[in-house]
Amino acid sequence: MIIAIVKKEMLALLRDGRFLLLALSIFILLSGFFLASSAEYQQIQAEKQAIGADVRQQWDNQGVKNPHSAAHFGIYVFKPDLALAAIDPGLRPFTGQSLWLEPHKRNLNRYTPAADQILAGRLGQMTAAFVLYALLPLMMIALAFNAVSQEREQGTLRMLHCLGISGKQLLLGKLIGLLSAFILVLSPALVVSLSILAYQFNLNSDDLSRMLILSLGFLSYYAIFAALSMAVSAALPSSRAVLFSLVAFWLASVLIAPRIGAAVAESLQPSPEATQFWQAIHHDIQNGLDNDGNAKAREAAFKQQVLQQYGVQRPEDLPLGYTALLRHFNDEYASKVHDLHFTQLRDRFQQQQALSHLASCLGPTIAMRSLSMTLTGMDLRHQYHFDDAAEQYRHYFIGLTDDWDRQRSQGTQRNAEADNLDWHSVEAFNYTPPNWQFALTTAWLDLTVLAVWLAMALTVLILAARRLKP
Amino acid sequence: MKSLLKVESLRFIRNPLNRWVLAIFLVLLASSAIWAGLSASECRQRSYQHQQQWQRNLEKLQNPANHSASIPEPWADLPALGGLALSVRQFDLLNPEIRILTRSRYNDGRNSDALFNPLLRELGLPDFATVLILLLPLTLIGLSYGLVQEDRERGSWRLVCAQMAKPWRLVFVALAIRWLAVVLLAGFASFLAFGLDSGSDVISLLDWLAILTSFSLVWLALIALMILLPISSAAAGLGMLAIWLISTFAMPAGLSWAANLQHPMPSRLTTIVASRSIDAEVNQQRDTLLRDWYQQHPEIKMPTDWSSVPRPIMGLPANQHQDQKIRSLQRQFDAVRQAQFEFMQRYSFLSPALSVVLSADQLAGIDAPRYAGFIDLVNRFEDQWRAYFVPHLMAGDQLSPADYQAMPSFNQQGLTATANGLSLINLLSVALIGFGWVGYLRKQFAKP
Repeated sequence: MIIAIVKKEMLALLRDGRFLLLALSIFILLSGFFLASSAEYQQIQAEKQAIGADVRQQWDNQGVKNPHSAAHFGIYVFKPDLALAAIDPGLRPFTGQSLWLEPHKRNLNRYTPAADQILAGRLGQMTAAFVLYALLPLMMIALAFNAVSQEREQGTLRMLHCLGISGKQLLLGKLIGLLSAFILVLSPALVVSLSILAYQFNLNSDDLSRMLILSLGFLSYYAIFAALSMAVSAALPSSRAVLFSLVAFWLASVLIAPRIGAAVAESLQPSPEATQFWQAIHHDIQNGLDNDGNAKAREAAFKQQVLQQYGVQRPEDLPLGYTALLRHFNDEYASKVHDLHFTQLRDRFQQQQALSHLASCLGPTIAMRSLSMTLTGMDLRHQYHFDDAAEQYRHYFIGLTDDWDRQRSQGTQRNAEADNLDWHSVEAFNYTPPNWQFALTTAWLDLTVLAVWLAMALTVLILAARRLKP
Repeated sequence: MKSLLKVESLRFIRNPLNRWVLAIFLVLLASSAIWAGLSASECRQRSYQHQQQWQRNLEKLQNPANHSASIPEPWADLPALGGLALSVRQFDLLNPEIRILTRSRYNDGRNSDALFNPLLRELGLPDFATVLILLLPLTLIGLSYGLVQEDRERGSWRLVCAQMAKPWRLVFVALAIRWLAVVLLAGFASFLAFGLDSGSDVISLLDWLAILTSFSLVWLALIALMILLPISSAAAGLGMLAIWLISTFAMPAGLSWAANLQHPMPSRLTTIVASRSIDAEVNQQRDTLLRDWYQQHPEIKMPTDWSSVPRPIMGLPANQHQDQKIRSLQRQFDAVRQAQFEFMQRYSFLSPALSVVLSADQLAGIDAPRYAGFIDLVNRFEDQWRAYFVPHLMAGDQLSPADYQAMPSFNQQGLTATANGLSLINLLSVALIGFGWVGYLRKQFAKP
């Protein structure tokens, strides 16, 4: 019986004028946005590569100069995005585009693209992800809102009852029919998008695993909207009331909940002010953490230790560059302080992310958006993974310049020099993004929220089926 | 007419669905207004505290008893305008505070960049103007859904046409009641937002109310036009939803894309390479620039023993030269943003939502033209600051309290509001054209 209902439902949907219109709209929107997103992705990646090469060339050809001056010239690094970022650029508009690695200080990424835009994402981002998480659920609602209520209004629900079809069979059949029709609608656009992805990018097994999990996530997300649409359509007396309720739910889930979540998170765990953040780091470097003593005391102790180690009375008598040695000692301490404050900042941001999920009680969209950006490698955790790798690299190349400075000078002289051969010998920054298991572990909260919503939607559907009256 | 108004009001208010829709609209809009008002107030408070801190530092420097020879590093603040509650998030996203230094401010993000969680920005904070443009049209659509068309489907419109010589009057009254209910609630929420913002002013509120009223009139006209169409209520409902989606999301994105085509935003990454080239070039000219500087300032004696001069002091002329070059690279971003803003505002009649967002930015004082003006003021002040302090530093002067008293201060006077009424004119024009059409076709309502 369910198969017959599924067939009938699919046939009815396929013959419906709305269906053709929606299928065409979805195809144009999804393919169009995907083409635009992937073109933007390619342009950004190509630019990052070209600029990365230029910046490296500038580093390599600094000529003869003091190694520490060269370190101050610094190196810029750029996060390479996964191919899936063409589907969902995630936090790209709000994270900086470049990270400058220099001595003494750990920097944050700079130049957020949103700051150069007039709208800055306030009216949504025109990306394939926006179509997938925001517009497709609305189209699902447009297809499903009168699936049961219209049967009731036309009197056919009574006839179905007379045929002995239970509410459960009817709603389950309609749900499967709706989802099948929906997948059918999505298929052409998905085929086009996947072909572009496969043709333009070298997808590896990690990309494919991420894509598979993302597809399952979106399928669950649409199933939530389909089940709830069906349940509301069965429970409310008129198509008008159903449409109102479902559009209100969509609005709450897609547009209101993320804003409320962000406001709640910001209110309960406010982000520190930039000046306070940097001043706190400066203060801790100058005054020391715990019982480490202030900068002067630490330097005095270090000086004493070095003089003792080399058996000399004055730094001027040391057989190696004391200035570089002391600088390296101070930089190590500064790194420790920076690590502490950066970890605190990240913890704060992670707490904010968790708190923003409180608004998931209004709808599953926050969880889906978060899952999507995690699987495409465009979330905070992937950004931190890159930042940490860059910080390791900063330690490496600053350490190297300090070594040259120390080895090529004596005492308190500052006459060490290095040349292009030395600059060339600095290894390039090679970053490997984390694998899909990292993404999956990161997204456990999003997956849990989605699972809870799916279970709840199916429960509501079953309850609506039990109470279904013609 | 009075009885018509009374009957329609009763019919409207007695419908529980209408009451629910209005209640949800009020709760959401009021929540956003409270958040926006308090956030705006907090933002102003922060700025005030920074000013107080600066004043305290200044007093310390100018007091002979607490004399210190350090060079102060003031912050140049972009002052928010009376409508800050409308667009707080945008104010936070840009850098409304820039530190003035004798060395370059461009390399180090600590001197200007705001600190925020990118995720919260991506989710979007409940800025009052943004929430309003999302909710107000949907509420009006919800309240007007089924008007005429549903009555036609039920057969009751036939009765209305039989009883009234001018059925359009009934439609106009029904629409006016819905519009009034929505505008009153939106107006109340606006009072709330502006009331909670300690720095709001009446002029900004009145400007905003004019924008809000025009925006709602545009939507009323669009809804009236949809009601005129000979289609089912469901089709009209979905059509209105489609118009909302297109005008709120697709059209602004399209205009943003067109603005970028017309005035392409330069690449920040390319600028990095250019800045580094300048850095490398200036580094090679460091000694020449230093000598040139002393030649241009004969009143300051060139040191005979360079080893006695601290390296940062020796590098000041080179830094200034380098900064002038990088400044023109950085300034182009603000110039393009300004051009894009003006382009989008010119065509904002295509999207009522965009008109409101741009007006909200102007009323908050964070629109692109004003921001570009702010950057120009900051640059001018930076030049004055350096012209004052760099000679002192190069001469190795001990600064006296009198020197600190005579130092330049950041003057925000040149920074005016940029609200030009273009968005309001655009909105009113669209509303007038819409109502003109509705008026012209009003007899279509007489069809049963």
